Amino acid sequence: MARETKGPTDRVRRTIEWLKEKGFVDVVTDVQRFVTLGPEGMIAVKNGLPERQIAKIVKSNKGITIPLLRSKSTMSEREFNAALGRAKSLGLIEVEAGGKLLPGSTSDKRLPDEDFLESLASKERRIDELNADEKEVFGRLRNRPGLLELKETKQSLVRLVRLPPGSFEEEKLETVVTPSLIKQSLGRKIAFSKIDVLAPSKPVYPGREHPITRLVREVRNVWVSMGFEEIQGSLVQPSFWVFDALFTPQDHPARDMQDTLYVMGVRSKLNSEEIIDKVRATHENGWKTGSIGWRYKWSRNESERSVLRTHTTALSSRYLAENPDRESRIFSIGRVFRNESLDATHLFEFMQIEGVVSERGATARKLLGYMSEFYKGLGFEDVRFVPTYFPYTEPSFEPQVYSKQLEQWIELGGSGVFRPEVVRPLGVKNNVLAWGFGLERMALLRYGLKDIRDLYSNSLKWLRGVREYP
Amino acid sequence: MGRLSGAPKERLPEILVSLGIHVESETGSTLRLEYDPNRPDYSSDYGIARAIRGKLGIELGLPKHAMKPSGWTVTVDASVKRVRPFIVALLAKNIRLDDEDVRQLIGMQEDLHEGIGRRRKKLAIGLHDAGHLESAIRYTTVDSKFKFVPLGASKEMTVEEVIEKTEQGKKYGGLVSLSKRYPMLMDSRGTVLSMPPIINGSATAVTSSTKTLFVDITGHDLTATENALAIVSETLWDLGGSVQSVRISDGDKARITPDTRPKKCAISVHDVSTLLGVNLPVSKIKDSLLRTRFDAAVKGKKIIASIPRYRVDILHPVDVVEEVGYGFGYENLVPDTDFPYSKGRPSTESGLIDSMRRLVLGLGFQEVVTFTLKSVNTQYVNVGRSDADALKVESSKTKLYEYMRDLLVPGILEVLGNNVHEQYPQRLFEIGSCLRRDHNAETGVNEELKIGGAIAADVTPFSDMKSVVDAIIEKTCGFEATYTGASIPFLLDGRAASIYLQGKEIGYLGEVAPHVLNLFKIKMPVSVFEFSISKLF
Repeated sequence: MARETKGPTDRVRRTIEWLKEKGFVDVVTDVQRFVTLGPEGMIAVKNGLPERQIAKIVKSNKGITIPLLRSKSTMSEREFNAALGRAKSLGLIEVEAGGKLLPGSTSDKRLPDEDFLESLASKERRIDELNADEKEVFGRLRNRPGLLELKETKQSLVRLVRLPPGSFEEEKLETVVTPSLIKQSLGRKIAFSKIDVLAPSKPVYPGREHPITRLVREVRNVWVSMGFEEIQGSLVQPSFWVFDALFTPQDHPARDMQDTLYVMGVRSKLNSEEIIDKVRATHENGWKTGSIGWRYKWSRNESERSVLRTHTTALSSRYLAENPDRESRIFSIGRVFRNESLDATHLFEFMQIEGVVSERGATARKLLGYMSEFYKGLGFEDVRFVPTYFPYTEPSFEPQVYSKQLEQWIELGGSGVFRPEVVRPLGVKNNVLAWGFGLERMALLRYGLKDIRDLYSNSLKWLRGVREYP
Repeated sequence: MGRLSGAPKERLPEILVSLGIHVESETGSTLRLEYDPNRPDYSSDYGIARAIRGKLGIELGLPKHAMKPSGWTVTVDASVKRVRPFIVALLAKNIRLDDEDVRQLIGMQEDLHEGIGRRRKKLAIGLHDAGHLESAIRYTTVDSKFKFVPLGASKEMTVEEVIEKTEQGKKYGGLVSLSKRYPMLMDSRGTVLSMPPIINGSATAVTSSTKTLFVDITGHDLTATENALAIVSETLWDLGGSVQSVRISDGDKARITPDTRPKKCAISVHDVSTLLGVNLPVSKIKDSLLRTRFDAAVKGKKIIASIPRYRVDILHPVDVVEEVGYGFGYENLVPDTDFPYSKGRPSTESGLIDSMRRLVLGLGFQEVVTFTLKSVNTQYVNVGRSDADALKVESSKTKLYEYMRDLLVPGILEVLGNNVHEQYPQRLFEIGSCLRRDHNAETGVNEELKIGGAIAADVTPFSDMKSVVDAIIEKTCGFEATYTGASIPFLLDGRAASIYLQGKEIGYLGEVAPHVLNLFKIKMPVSVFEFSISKLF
């Protein structure tokens, strides 16, 4: 078939396989077994079978003894003994009294074994074509080592069952829909060839959002559904809004270069003088907040350093300063920065989520209520709150959610009521509630990742393969 | 802890959590705890046990002790004023320390040094065996040739040698080495107690046979030293010691330390209900405060709290209200979900970003999210740009990421380079903030929202990318973009263009030069675009 079609055998084989699969052809596989000469058989054809060789020696040395006969033969002792036995039983030789050997009654006749071997010398023979006598000889000789060899060949015979549609002997079928066919199609039936609808397809990759974006969107939806307005702000902020306005003393370790990334070679300009004075007084002596303050000399210079924001609370404090009297529920979702070495559990840049409520009658119990609803919205049914400390809230709580996946409580954020030292200098009279957390923690849980760096490695294998709803 | 606090062992973790102490791990009979930095009084097991005894009602209210004067004095020489001006001290008698006690005291000392001591800058604590000392102590300065035997050394060393050769000298020498005079604490016979804040003398080393303990705390902040001394003092009482006061004679002023008089703070029923959201009667408020080891006196609707002197975290009445919460038990605070209706909404900016993202996703681009901080190679070297105007962060621990990105495309090329074994075509985009120097901006840094994208495939003609840019811009703002040929260091000359919108340059597009692809280890041709979203609106 390969010859006929002038194609590679491999393609022919695959095509037949496909045609067979579709039921267009039948394939009958015929197994044929052949017999041919083995190495010993070839020697036997040339020199005679061992029993014939013995008979020849006896014929030319009549009366020879067995030991003498053995010395004249080139066979091994085992071969010799076997050949001697067969020569005797076939009547090729006879043993006289005194152990002398003489040619036997059949010594001049050709053996059927010899004929059979001779016939193989010219061509191999199909076993199923041997006649009854030959089969007997074959049965005998195949047990003697090396005389015969067996071969098997498989032959596939292809028989046409029916012709595939569109093939040369049927009416012409269309292969693709074309504009001109569409034009001609009214009132006319056009036949199309069938295609293999089960054949595997080539992968394509949809344009997909990054999993972090997806989570951000989910979280944003929860905030919005709870009546919160989103606020936005710059990544680089004056230290004043990141630290001072949040009552973080200027010698606080969080302000060290060890923990915080300052921008080299630039400084901030502060312009809300009234608030600056109040913040300064609050740090130094508590101002009118009722606090004793941190009791040190506050430096404006320090508050003018430009810093990559370490939290999004900086945005909240600015919002409160601009809207001190407004009852508001706001949230922000954005990048924050810490001076960390990148490893499996630390990023120097990550996403923080924060919500702030400024309203009359806001209390710690309300805070816990807001948070319960919020975490439920994110799919965490079980939430508990453990008292803790944060520099700018009092009291402060650490929300913990129960992960069914990990079967344990995990910390997911921080929260509290802003200290009066934070909100009073901004002109806010309400209690202000705040809570937030790092998105990556939730992302690791969601996507079953162990190494936090994987979230930002942008491996296309992951981005293309990750499930929409893992 | 069980023995010290009287708490049943199995309830300890739960009690600790209710006190705001984090149980990090539990192995056998050992609990690893983490306390918050506002509670330096938790720097020893004794401090934590004191709080537990209150919580369980085993002991209530202020710990009360009758402190006698020791008759010991510290005379402060005027020369210390410019070096390390303040000192406070105490004497503790009847001390019996086992090895565990010594370990606890040293642990506390180290925690106080690191925390409220700001790595010994604000304060440093010296613990001394007073057995070998005269009761008249001098706090003075010496020059660099002064000799004494520092703790851990076998022979005399000069001050200079201590700073240059000892481990503590190398670590803390910087705190005093600006001056030519060095602080030194010695008794009237010249026995050196310590060279604050660096190292103690060997003559006064504390051992398990120490019976009388002299404690000095020196520093730059008198309040901080007094705070730390109050914590040490209370711990020594807990250890079974009898703390006595020391007279500090400082020029014409004299102080008696430790000052353990409690400060007062008044709160009302209203303060508690408006902050915590629970209406507690005065009796309950009083009881709660007693359990946190405060004293409380009721005056009508007011409660006058007496704050233990070792509680250095109380700045404002809200801190006292928080204590009421602890005494009441935050586990008993029921969430209040009765909120009024309000209308929520996403910011305009995220609305814009979302709609633009949907467009680009619709064009078959995969979103990537990379860091704002980039390596110099990615952002400048590989793309043939000068970093002369680059914005860098100071002292980054992750040296590879020190540069704030001003363009998105270099980061996208880096992503392509990391994904050369994935199927092509690869169509990527990113939306993110880019930063550059701007003297007119509030922080000296201008921030701009940009979108960038790349197509890597067998063929990526300029015109394909131009179709993409045309589509995004026209669909988002309704105007058609215009173009002029441009020369951009990482794009092929003659195959790069600037993008304009109503006469304003907003970005660029083009085919990436092969040598740039090579530097990013990309083996396929790439076309890119990038423009400012901020400038679109």
